[in-house]
Amino acid sequence: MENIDKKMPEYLEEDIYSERSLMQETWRRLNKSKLAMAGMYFLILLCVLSVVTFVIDVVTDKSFYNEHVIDQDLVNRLKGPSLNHIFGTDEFGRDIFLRIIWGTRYSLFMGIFAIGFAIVIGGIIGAIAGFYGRVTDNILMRFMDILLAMPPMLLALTVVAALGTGLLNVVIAVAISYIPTYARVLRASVLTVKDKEYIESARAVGASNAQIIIRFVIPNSLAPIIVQGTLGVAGAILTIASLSFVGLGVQPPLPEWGLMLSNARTYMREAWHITVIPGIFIMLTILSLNLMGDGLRDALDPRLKN
Amino acid sequence: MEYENILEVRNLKIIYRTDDGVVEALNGVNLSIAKGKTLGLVGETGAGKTTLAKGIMGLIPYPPGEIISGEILYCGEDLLKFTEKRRRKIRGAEISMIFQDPMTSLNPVMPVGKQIEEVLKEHGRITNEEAKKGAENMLEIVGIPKDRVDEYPHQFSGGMKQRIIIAIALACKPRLLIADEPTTALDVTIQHQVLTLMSNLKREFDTSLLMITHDLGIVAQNCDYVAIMYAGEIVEYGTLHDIFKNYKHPYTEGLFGSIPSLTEDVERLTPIEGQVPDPTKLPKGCKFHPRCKYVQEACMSWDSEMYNISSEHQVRCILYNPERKSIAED
Amino acid sequence: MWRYILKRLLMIIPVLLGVTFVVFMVLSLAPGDPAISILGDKASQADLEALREQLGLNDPILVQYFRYLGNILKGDFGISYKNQLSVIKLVLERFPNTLYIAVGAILFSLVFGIPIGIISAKKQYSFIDNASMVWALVGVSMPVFWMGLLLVIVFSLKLKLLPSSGMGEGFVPLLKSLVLPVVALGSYSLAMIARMTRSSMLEVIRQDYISTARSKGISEAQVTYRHMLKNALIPIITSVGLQFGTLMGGSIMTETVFSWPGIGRLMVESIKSRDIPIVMGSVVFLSVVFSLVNLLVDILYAYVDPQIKSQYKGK
Repeated sequence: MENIDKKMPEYLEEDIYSERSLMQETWRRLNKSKLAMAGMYFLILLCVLSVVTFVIDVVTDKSFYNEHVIDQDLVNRLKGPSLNHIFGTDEFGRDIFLRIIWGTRYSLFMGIFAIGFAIVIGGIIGAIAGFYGRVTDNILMRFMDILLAMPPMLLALTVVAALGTGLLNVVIAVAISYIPTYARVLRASVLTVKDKEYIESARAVGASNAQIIIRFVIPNSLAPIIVQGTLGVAGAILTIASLSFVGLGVQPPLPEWGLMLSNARTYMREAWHITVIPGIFIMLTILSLNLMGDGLRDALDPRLKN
Repeated sequence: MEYENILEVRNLKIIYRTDDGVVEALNGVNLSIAKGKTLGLVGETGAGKTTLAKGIMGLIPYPPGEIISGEILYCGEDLLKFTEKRRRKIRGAEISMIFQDPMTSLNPVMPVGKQIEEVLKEHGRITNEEAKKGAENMLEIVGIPKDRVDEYPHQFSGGMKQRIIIAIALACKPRLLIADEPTTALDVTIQHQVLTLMSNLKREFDTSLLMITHDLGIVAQNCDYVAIMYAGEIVEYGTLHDIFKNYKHPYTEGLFGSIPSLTEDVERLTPIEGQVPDPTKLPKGCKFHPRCKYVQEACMSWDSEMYNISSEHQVRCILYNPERKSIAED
Repeated sequence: MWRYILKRLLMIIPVLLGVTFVVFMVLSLAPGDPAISILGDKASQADLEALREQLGLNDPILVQYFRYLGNILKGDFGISYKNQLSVIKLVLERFPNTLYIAVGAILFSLVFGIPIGIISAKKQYSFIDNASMVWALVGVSMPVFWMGLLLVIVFSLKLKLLPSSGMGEGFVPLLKSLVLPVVALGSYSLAMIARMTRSSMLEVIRQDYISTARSKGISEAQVTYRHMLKNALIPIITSVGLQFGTLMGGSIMTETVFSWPGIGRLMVESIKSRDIPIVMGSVVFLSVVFSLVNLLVDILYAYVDPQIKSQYKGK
């Protein structure tokens, strides 16, 4: 990287410095929106709790998990919220609070993972399409059009139908349905940057395609990717929960939130708390992501730059 | 009812309440326009010209804008005392306005003919047929072939759009037309066309005109009277001759000094020092004093008022206070 | 105008063909032998082989695809593995039921969403504006199926006002059974449309031509309707078009919650029972419908936006 610094003319270095202050600037503006910050704190809280569950799993060699989250305790079934069980117990007597915390990884983390996957694959496709243009662009974008001609849930269902149910397949299904979005974002960024004059200067001093992508294309596309990514995770979580709810996603006895709701249906009459509480968590998580996404979009809006 | 002036504004004060503070947009504006005459209102951006225009039209949005005091006399009656319903009757029919940017001043999804018909139908009991004929007629008057009456704004050039806007404004033959920088957004050649059209129509319909502009050249060619505006006040007022040949206010002097000249060989333009003041933090005393070449101690605490130079020429400057000598002695 | 429609139709066809190809290929990956699915695993090898020959399962995959494509174009979507019923018949039987909910949801979201958006925009920063936008944000974040479950708990179980499942027979029972699914499915769209309308209106309110309109002396109501709304509607139409895809996905969940006999539930059950022809047929069918709806939205858009309209006038 140092070699690049030495080669490139000064004014190109400004791009990197303005990058740093862009992050600080964005953070400052994001702070202005109380709602966006609230959303962010909630998500951080969830993440922390989830990490704690991972630690507990490793330390207790999953025994805590098995005992409290998986094993059934039918004596205690369908109890309402109490001191022992903050959110009550489910139809198998399992503590709902614990199940929800352990379930975070299947919703939040898997959502993040699926979107991350989509961003990388979609990004590569979009960048190639934008960079090499013409025929390559056409072929790749037609393919994206085909994926987009199907309503997103339908695409996910098709993949699940082909691959079968289960956590991994659901994540793949969701990832695939989001690839076209990020392909478009990256392609647009590449097209915007491609024609700028500083690219010519960069090439004149010998920068390779890879260097150009790393130094210019990626910073340029960070803003829309961050915003779309945040909102995308919200959608991914929804899709994972929805698929699990109808039985095509994560399978029992895993503590996934949508799955918990599907089991809860049978007991709506007697114990509505198992219906309401996991749903609240899904909603709050998605809400937080939406708030953050909106906040980020406003904070990163170039029109607001001084 | 006998009246000499179509419009008389007396001591109009308008503020806007914003998150950043109270914007003092108009600080006691006085002016008048006689029947059939053109008054040029000159000032930089931010002086309050558009606020004044909107105030006369009654288009100041109530929050955050507020009219604190003053009178707007139209043919002798105070518009500020009218009900909204009555003001709407006047708006478009007796007092009209054309706005700054013709490219964005027409509704993009309505055919231009309908936009003219709209104002005709609002202010008269006429049938659809008559309205359509009226619209076509107006188009012809402003020089647009009437068979284009069903086309949409985007199908016209900037100059033509402005002419359509003029057609809308004059359709009901108003007594007063307010033109807010009507040619600023147009090419110089088109500017000339539009201004010629406006002065012809003005003569034909016997309309008074309030021409808001920052371009002294336009003022020179079209106006009978001139008012110079600064920071929400009129700082100098007079006939065209008074202002161009005999200006008194330091700000006016600055304006004329900063015009490039075709005839003289000038080394550098002399802009006015300093910047237009922040309307939330206006200077005390004379609002121009921080930038004034002739500033004196007394200017900072002066209760500004207009002094007469001649029967029609007035200046808001302490230098022209007839009792000046006595102040200096103190 | 017809030229525009034709052009768009021509553009859709290759894409739809692509969809059939992708769907076919992807679903061929599904594990399981169709012959066994049809005849059951007690059938003899000879019978299985014979069936495979008959169904053309031993041919190369591309040949199978083109055979399938040819059949679709004739209207033959194959038969179900489980009960030998015609796929297209099943699909066409169930689809209208889904349509009831979907159309109901769109109407619900438009009828309530647009006025809320307009009022919020005109009274920006007021209590109504803030409250509506908070509600809208929550609405956008609520999973459809959870909303459905909550509605059932409140209106069916506690208040006993409306049925909790199934599609009613007869006009009034049908309407009664439609209410909860429509509200559940439509809430998300309602929230989106309210937000979209508000932001679109806010854009329009700032425009110069609104000042021009007001300066004519017409009433505020006329300004709102004739000048603001007509311009704000354009992005809203686009939004509605996008909503349709989400609605189709959401209807699957809604149908599950309410045991509604629609195409969504058909698909879910078919996937669970590995009845591939039904899955394939449903997906292709729905993709075609989706594309046609998008086309309709585009046409509507072109009709409303004068810049496009004038391009194709008189052709």
